[in-house]
Amino acid sequence: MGKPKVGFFDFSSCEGCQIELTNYGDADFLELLNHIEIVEFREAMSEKADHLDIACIEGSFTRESERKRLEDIRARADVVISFGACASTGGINALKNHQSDFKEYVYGKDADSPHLQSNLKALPVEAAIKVDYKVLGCPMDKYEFLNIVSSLLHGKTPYIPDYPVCVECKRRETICRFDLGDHCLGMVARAGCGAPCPADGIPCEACRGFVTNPNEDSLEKVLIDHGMPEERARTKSRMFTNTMRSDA
Amino acid sequence: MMKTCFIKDQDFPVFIKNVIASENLIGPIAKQNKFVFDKLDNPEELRLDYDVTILPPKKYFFPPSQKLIEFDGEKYHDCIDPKKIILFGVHFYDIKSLDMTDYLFTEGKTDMNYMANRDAATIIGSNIQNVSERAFWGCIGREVKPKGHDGFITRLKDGSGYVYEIISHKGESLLTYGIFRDATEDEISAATRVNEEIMLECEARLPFPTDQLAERVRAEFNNEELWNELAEGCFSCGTCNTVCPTCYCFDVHDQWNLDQKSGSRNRYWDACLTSEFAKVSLGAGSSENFRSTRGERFRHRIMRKAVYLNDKLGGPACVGCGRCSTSCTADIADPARVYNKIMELEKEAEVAAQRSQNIFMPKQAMILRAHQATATERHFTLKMADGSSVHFEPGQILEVSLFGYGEIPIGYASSPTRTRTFDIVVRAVGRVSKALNKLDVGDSMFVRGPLGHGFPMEKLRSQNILIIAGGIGLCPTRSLIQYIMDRRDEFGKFTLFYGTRSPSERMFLDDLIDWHKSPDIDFFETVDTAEDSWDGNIGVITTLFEKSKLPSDTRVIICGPPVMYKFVIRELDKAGIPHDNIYVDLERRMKCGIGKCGHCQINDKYVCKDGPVFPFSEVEDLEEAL
Amino acid sequence: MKKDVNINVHHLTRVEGHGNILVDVKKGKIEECTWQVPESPRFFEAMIRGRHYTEVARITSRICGICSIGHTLASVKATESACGIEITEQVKKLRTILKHAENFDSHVLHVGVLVAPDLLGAPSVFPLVASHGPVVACVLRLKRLGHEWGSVLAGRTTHPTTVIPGGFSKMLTKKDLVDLKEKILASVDDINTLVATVASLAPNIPAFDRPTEYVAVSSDDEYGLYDGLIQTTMPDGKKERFSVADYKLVTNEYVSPNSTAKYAKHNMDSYAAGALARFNNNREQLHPEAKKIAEALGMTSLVTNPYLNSAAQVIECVHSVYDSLRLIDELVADPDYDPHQELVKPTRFGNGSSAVEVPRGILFHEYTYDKEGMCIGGNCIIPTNQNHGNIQLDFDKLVPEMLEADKSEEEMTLALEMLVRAYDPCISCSAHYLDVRFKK
Repeated sequence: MGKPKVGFFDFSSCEGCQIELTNYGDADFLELLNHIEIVEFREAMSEKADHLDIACIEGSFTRESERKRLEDIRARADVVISFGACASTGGINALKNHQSDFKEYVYGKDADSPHLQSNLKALPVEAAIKVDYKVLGCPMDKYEFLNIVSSLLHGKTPYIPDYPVCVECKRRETICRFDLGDHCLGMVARAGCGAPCPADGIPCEACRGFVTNPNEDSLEKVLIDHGMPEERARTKSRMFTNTMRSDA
Repeated sequence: MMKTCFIKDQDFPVFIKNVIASENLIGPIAKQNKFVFDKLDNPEELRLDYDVTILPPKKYFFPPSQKLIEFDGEKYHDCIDPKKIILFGVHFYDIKSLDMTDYLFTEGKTDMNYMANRDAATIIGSNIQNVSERAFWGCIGREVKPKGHDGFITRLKDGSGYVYEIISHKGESLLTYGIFRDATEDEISAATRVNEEIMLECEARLPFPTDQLAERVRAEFNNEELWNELAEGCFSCGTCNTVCPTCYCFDVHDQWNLDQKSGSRNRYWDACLTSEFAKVSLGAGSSENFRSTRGERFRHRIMRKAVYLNDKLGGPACVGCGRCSTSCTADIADPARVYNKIMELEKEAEVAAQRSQNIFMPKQAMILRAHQATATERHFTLKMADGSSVHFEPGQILEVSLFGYGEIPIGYASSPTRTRTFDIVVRAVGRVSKALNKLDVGDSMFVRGPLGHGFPMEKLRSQNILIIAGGIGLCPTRSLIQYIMDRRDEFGKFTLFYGTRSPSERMFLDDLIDWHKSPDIDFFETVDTAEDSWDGNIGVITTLFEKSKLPSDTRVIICGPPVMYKFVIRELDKAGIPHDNIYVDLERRMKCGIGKCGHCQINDKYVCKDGPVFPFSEVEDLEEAL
Repeated sequence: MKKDVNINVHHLTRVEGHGNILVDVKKGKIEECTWQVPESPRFFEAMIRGRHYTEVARITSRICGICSIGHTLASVKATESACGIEITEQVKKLRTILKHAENFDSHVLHVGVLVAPDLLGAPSVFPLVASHGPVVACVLRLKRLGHEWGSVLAGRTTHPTTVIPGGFSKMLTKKDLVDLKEKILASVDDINTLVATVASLAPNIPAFDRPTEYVAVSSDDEYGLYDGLIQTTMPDGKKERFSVADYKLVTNEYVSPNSTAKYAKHNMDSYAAGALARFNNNREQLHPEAKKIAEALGMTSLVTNPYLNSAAQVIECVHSVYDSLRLIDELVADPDYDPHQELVKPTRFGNGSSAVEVPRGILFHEYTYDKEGMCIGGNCIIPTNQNHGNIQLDFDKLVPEMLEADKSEEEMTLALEMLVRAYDPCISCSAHYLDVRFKK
């Protein structure tokens, strides 16, 4: 059997997850190319392919006109991976989903211009097509992606943790943001990243989305108990998890 | 291997520096506003004044992620590769936790992935200089003592230096790195004092003995409402597990390397509070979670800590470090709070039950043993006919009755550490007691209790104790004597004076022989008058004061005939014992046992309800008291 | 010659984001010749409404994955200006080293992975792994250096963690700085290899000239990147400076009917931003080692060939290496350097703006905060947007020239694609849609 053919596609996103692929360094990247064949990757190459073993789709589904392109990728690919937060959960793009006036706010009276045709909400790719696996995170963790690729190469379901980021902070003995007078969303955020943000001195913003059954009520209470104004506490988790909140 | 050395304060940094130069030295260091165990690069980093570290030292033996096997195609090998380390400055509660994980990883089949690291380590304990806010090591599992360390270093209060207690050869080998000499007696006792005193600084957050915990917590297992309420704010984040020194659950995952041929099998710390922990896949995307609610997961952790492992570990699987409590963002993990809540439930239930109960209704008790102790005193061992256990404090009383004869108050004469049975001694002096004294094994009595207040155990713990018992006063104090003997390490110097009018009135003869032999108790006895065959002391009980040196911080318990009190207290005044530290066990005519009937009233106090044990300072100026 | 040409490049490859090239020539007459930007709108301005000042940079960083360090720095600087925060000199130096890291990282990627295939006649870098293995490996090593150099300062290079209003949430120790210096020094041979490779391929760079206006950050103290004023240089070399708060006087954004992104113009009908614009404004302040490379490439005065933007990027790579080494030495020698210094706290909340040079050119951020520190409005002007007009005017000159020279459709397509790529456009950025107002 030849090497699996892999394609990368981008929708509404910053394309940072694709950029992360360039950050493996020489040895790891060249080794990766021994096991997969990158056949389509608009950002880095001009070639195109008919059939794909794995399609990695970056970016959110935000315009009805994108549905056809997504369906085309789905039709060509055996396995579809939503690649990064925007594709997997809507990511940062969904931060304005709860607003009803964002188009008018940004475009004024030109809001109905056909150029700006857009869904009201930024949605994960799976809102348009079936997604087999999700790579979480903003940006995605490039080593977790390697593990996922390894699993798929061996026909094994990739393991993605479903416990909160607190587990990983504690494992690396990071001081809790709350103990430093800050706030954090680590208690409701899905782990797997290794908790780099609190270790770097900033709160977790839950870029990998919520764990299954996040305790949103307790989150709001804890934030308020630690001095956050109520309105901010109520809206805090919108940054990366707006599509996953109970009020979404 | 018990040897105790001393190193001067000014020599200590050089000692640490020398250890760093030759060994892999791990100790507590500051990390922003917290502490962690980490490798030391210079002596200044060592912070023996730490209160508690974020993670316990188990991370060196059972790391958060650990390779178990490396494979390459069909070839594979294990990854046991212990590194020699010296873990320095470990608090006693963390040593206890390592004792527990040592047991758990070696029980049945030994896990060498843990034990090899453990064997390669030298563990040096150190005294606690600062108590962390949520710690409760002062009151949980005190019956379990640390044992897995190789040495223990105590910084003396006066700053002169450190007393180093050597426990093993590994501990002894450190002597070569510093200027040590043998510690003097004074230094050794100063170190003992430092370690005793810090126990008192740890707030007594569990106002009940921990041996009652397991049973009561287990009794609430099906109280779904309780667990859901306790876990309402829970994030299922597993932080309480991850920072716990006695948690040791793990998960195992295989991982391929980039070459897609080689890889490793690794284990990771897991946490039973996370929702995934008890989830099993049933295939085709469906799954079953055996602990699907927050309340169930919360309960499981409390059961693991307070109930499930107790038989194996000899006490709760909790050392009172307070890490789970301080690191829980929702602040719901504090075990002390949970235990107290459960104990209060019991109390609430008791109150409710009491209201629906007639206070005069006794319960049947069966006589297991009966023994004529003296001509007039008969010693009974009883158990409740319904099989229920008895919970009382030493010094408390119960009402004992026989229908048709009546009811009399009697003190418990056995230790509450034995909950299945209890002892009483009945002196045949009245209608009821004479009838009771005719009973034998298999007969029943009818009892109500415990009643009143016994000896103030929370004030006696860690102290030097003197018990002065005159005549039948040995019966209620025997309860306390047995309690102290059962938990000898929790108390300081322990002395007993026992006086009777003549040798024939001596009771508990087997006990007396044991106590004379035991190194755990300084036992002095006297009789007022005796035949020539008596080779012990003759004279009133105050003559015993010449025989024993009495530290002025001793706590004294007096129980005996009223005439004895005045003379004994005069001697205690001479020894400079404050009256706050003297407790007297008063005897009055008690009828109801619940502070209603008025017979035992002294001024505004009822002996049966407020006593029978009182601090002497509370009753000395009370008319009619003594 | 009256021929027909029809070029329709839908979603141009090897650029960041989506762009289309449309050329329609009927019988020698140009009916259409446009550069289109159809990227999906993302509404960042709506997103930052009601967010706390400490969160805003984490949101606007997500405008672009490739220059997220630049967006973060620009955002944090604008927020600091709006909040009356004066950062310490040491933080400023560290951020400058970080800025160097991003420019180096991005330039290496652009020149080595996206442009090199054009110069070597390959469709992408992947076939070059076989044909030019050592060079590809060298580029990947330098790419890793740029990534590690940025990561050690910023936590990570895609959506950095440590750069926050008031300073750094985690600051390098002197030992970290010395280690970074060692790491950079160890890569000097690879940098020389890259320079030599580009120099050898320089003859393959198309010859084309269109003098335009060049806009860049400029400072009296250094080659403008992290901090400075706005400066424009006209084709005749005449320079003019503006304060950052007056950035709208320079950008004068307007809407082109051909594209969803906004265009910009100043004195002329368009202006250029980017490495070449910086070179043309500030080349006297380049590190001597970088000046040597410029001389070797024959770039000694104002350069008006937009294809040479890639060459200017290589020159900047060398400058970033040596200027960073200088800054590291200064910080290590500084007796007052304190890696545990406190963050500087806000002294007020109001309006503030910033200008930072990102790999593709000058970037502006502006925010307004209410008295609770919550964002009530913002604006970002992206270098790629500022270049769209200039690309269009380059097309307008280049297409007739190529028709004149009787180039084939394939040759013309490649030349137009290469031109767009030379600008290193970042179209995700340009479609961020902050403060977009369409004309009626």
